[in-house]
Amino acid sequence: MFLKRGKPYVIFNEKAWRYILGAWIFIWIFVFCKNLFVKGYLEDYKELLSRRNIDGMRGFVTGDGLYEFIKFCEISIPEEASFNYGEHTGITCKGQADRRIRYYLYPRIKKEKMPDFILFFNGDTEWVKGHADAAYKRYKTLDSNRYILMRDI
Amino acid sequence: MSSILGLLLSQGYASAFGWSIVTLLEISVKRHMFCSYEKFVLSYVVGMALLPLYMVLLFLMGRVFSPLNLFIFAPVPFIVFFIYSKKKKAFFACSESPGDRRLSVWERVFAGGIIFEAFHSLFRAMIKPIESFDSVASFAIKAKIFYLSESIPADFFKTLALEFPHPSYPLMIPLQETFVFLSMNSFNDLLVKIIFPAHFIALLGLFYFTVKVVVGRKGALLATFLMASMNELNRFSAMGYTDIHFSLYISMALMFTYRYLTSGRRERVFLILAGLFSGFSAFTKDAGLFLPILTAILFIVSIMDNKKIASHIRGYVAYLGISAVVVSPWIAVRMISGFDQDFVGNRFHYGGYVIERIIAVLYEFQVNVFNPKKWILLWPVFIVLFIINFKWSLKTELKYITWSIFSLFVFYFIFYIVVDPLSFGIDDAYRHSLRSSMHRHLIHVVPIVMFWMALVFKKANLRKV
Repeated sequence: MFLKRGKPYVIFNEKAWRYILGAWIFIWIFVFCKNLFVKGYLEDYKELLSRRNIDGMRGFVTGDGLYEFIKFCEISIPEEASFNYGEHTGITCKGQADRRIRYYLYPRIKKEKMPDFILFFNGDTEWVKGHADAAYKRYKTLDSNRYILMRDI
Repeated sequence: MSSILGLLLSQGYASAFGWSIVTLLEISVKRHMFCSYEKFVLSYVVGMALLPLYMVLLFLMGRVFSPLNLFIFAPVPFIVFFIYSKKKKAFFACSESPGDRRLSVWERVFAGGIIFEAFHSLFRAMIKPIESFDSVASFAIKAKIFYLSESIPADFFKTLALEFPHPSYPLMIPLQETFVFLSMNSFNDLLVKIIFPAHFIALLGLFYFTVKVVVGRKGALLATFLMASMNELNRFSAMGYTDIHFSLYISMALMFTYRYLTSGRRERVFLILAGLFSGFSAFTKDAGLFLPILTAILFIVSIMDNKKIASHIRGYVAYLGISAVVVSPWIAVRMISGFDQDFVGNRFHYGGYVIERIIAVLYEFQVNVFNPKKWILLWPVFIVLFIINFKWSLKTELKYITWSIFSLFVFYFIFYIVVDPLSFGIDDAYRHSLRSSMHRHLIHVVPIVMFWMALVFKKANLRKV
């Protein structure tokens, strides 16, 4: 009924094709509007457009608090030094934050054993007191929950 | 401001370099093969793909990515322009100018939709710096390493690369990003993202011109609009992943092979371009290394049809040679660097549970293809058309595209059954791997599927939309 035979291929007839094209355009507009208004793309775009510079945009995609801390680390840690962090210090290894910190802080390299610095970002303060303070001393502080520990040589 | 100028310089230089290559190909056959717009898009894509390969050669020669080394080809377009203008009076002559006839209402709607999606992609890409997981962890970090050291560091493959996921991924995307960073002389991971929507627009442009040759302007505008409107393609065109690049390279390699096999004169320019794009695809994703096998199937199909075995073998060897030459710097780097972790050849492990895996793959496949949010109605329409035209899909020139689609699906299907990067057997890790990759693999097939549908419509002589 909705098919048309022509030399010898079979396709939808013009009526069916009009339905398909109509439905296609409807879904296209619907998905676009849904993304914009329901999934919150519009709010994101407004926020991003208000940021005006690349650091502001990086802050949006990374999280303002974390990006502020990364910038703080970038200024505080020498380029040739190494750093580390872990769940106890507030940053999960192999997560999105882990990738972004390593990306933004390069050429500073993440090192598992005996790093020069440990980054503390909203982590477990008690754990730091118990485990890290013996070998590492507080180096620079952004605020009470975001600071850098340096290896005590 | 200087970053924007640097960005424009990088894109202009790549286009001019690519234009030289395409023009030299045209000079070699003493004919215009592409109209001006198609040639412009093709030049950009070829230039942007050849420069990273040249950067790999610089690494092999122990040279840094200095401005002098990177822009050494700057005089080439002028020389080629001089030769070309001597040989051709009508420089931008084209067999059919796009402005020959006025656009009908429907054509304007389709063209408007394509332009809207092109700007949409640009907007989505340029409003955020690089952020997605793989685009940061697998590509942008490598680009930053290369940019800061103005080279691929000597110990990169033995130490630095191992610090990040997928150390042996081909370097097409990181080196394209490095080239833009170096041209801008700044680490601006917002502006660098322009290469992704630019390649999406190039995919739409090259697809349009290829389809137009076969089905005419209206059909080409419709097919291009349908492809551009799919949210999944647009989303990936702004994310900084390899998939749009790979889709572009693999589909153009197959379409140029189709044009070569179906052109009565066996146009060698199409064969050379098919070989080039095949090489580019192998330098973008490991899956591209299997493209020559797929192309061999198309040549075998053609031999079965017209029996000219010697000319087909010559053609295929030429294709294979060009493809091998293009990808050889990268293969050399892989062999010299000596690391085999993550290499595609080492990921083929038979993990058993074949039936369970087939069920899991088919389940994930149906979840994907019947998702209008990603593909609108592409897959249901294609499946119906394919079933009702199955017999004739394997006849006339349509068979090349049918075999291309069939081979790509079989390749990915076997990939899912045999390759298991995360675990043996079937578990949550396997299902996660399926969920996170199948939609990206479908992106690679979309242009070829759309081309197949355009051919069927043409074959059925559909006159009105």
